[in-house]
Amino acid sequence: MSESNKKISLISSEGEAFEVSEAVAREFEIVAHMLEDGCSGSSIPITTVDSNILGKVIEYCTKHVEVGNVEGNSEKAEKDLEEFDKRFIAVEMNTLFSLILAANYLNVKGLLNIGCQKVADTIKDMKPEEVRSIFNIENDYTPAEEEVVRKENEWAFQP
Amino acid sequence: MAKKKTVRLRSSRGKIYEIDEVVASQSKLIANYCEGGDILIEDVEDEILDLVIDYCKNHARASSEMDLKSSGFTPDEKEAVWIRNAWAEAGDEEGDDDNDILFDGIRLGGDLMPDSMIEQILTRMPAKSIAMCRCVSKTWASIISRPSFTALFSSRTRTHLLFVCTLDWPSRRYHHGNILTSPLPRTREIFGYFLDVNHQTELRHKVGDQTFTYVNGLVFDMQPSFCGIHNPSTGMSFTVRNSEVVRGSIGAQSYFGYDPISKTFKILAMTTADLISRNHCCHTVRAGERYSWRSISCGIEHFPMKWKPVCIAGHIFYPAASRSDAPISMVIDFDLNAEEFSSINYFDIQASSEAILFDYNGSLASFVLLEHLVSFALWVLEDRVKQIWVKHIHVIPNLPLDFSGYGFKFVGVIHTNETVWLQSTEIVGPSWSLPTGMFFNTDTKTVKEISFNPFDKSKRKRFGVSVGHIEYMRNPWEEYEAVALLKSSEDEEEGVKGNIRFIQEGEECPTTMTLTVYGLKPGTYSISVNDVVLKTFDVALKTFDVHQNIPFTIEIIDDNQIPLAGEKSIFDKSVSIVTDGGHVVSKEYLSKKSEVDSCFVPVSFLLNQLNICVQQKYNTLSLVFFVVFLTGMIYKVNDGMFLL
Repeated sequence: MSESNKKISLISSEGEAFEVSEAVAREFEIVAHMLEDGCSGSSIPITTVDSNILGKVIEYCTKHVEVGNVEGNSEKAEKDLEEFDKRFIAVEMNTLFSLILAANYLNVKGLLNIGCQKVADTIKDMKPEEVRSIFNIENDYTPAEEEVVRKENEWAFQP
Repeated sequence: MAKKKTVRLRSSRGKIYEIDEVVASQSKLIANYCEGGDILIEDVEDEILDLVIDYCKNHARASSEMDLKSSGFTPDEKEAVWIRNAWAEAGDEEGDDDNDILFDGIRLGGDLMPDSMIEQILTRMPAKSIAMCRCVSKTWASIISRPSFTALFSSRTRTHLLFVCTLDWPSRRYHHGNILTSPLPRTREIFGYFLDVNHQTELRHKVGDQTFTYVNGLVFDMQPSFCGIHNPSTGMSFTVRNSEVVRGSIGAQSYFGYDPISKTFKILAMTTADLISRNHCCHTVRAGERYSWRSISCGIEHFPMKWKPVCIAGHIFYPAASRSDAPISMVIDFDLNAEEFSSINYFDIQASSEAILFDYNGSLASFVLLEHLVSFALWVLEDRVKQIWVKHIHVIPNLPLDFSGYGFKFVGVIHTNETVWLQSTEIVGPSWSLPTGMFFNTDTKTVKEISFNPFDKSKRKRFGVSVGHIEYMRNPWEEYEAVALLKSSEDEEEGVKGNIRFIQEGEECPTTMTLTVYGLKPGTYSISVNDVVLKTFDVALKTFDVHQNIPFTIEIIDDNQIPLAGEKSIFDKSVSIVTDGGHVVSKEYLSKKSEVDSCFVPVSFLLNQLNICVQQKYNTLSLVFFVVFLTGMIYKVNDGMFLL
């Protein structure tokens, strides 16, 4: 993180520019690759992520870079970061999905991890019908097939 | 954007595509990269890149329109695209609309194939929730059955404490019970005071809370007439009859283990009615084999003691004496792969009644209590060949006063240095909870007390515990079997009948193919799966006639070419028998065993007749229809409509 004061503009799908330090931008692995490949331009369009989500992802990365930069970081800082993560992903499902997609696209591993974990925790006690409605999945089992597969996994439905 | 240059795209397999930059700029991702040089599209395969480039060429003209469209995605639209992708098998079709979806999917996330995100999410859930998610949709069920899913899940899954809980009926040794697990945090630092308990299934078989053994995700228990194996992660049980071994003998002993080399679970059994063990037998746990024990020789005279055995890296270890009336003097080491016995000298101990064998970071170890809640010794077998036991004595620091009333019992070691202790007393109360536990760290010499969240299973009063449980999503006794019914493309009189079966015991195991066929004329034939020749075989001079009822059979064991499990599964693929002249004698599609099992002979007659009508037209399209129709027929037959 040598040139931490260098600024880079990330452009959202709406064309809004977010100015961040290079260290933060490098948290986006895809951006880091672009920079290494010689894309020296100071503005990078992130055309698949809208302003709202991009703003959030940048917030996440900024926080993590800040904490990472503190020398000999204490347990307290780690705990704070955990708290921050917890609050950060306490959002409604659609936003969470967008965050996961953005994190996957931009290759922000930490965010991808906590996002997927959050979804997993949310759906782990749900019935298949509820999961379908959350993911907007069409049930492609015929009633007979569904009966068979439910029978096979009957134990999972017991309390 | 520049409009005249060309851009070279390199796919994940290294194929180079040279395309117009105008075309390339259809992909925002590519357009964002700098000019010049190859652009490596890492996570996109050739076929998909082909499709995308094709798409871009077609749409380059309407590019201004596209730019508008691509930049204006709202999160909802993105999600909609993602969801559509999640259950459309991405990249299979090339309709105009599908191309839109496909392209959008790739543009949205570079390496994002939505199934991989589903995989990311589902592998973070406990086994029970995953089982529930199998019922969500076929696509989800197929994601869960992939090898990559199992691998990812195994890499994520945490160590659990496993409890086998039973009713408090002291007069009976075996009870219907249930299994509870409690996931342990990855590091000691994030232990709370309370640990969660996952409720697992009721056991279908009776189980002894103190006699069960735990091996690689499975719970094993020996009963008087059978051995029960239970998978708490899938809720499935399997039993193996051991009457063959026991043969009315009063005493018998069984051990269970996992051999990582052959990737199989095995049971070792012996009778103990005499002063030493006899009738040593071994049984491999796999589908269809509940009765096949094979005798193995044991050159070591010993009498197995009723202590819990331990299975470490393909070896079962159990303590033994030279005779039933002698003290423990050795540990028997049974190599599950070679199926050979050897013995290890057991060290000199006084308190042998309190000695427990366990897995200490991959080595055999024994726990010896020196003074209750004050000190204990861990003996570790550091060199198996030279039989060197190394003794480590640990002194527990002063415990808080409220610990003193508890009878803590050592149950194992986790996280390389954390000894786990649980209260050994039975708990009575209206709201039952698992007993209080204690973790003593042998490195830092610190103690941490743990309680389990209470739950209402008021009848469960007794428990047995095992550390180091890992959720395991497969049942070793289930295998994969694909069946194709053979029919003839010739007329009925000379028609062939029979079936081809493929059996694979599990992922990455060899596949066995068995061909059973009636009515083949003499000559040379080959069997192909999906038009790839698998085996050529000769039929002898004699004509095998359907009326003689003597089938021609061959069996092939294939190492890894024909997987039944996972993504490259041959289910729904065609299997055909072709003469050396290239004449297709029979071509059929492979189905799961359960879908066709009950209808061998009658169907092939029916199919023969139907086949003749189609053969006369030689129309590819109608053949396709025919295949679809046939598949439908087989399903119907299975439903019982044509049970002749």
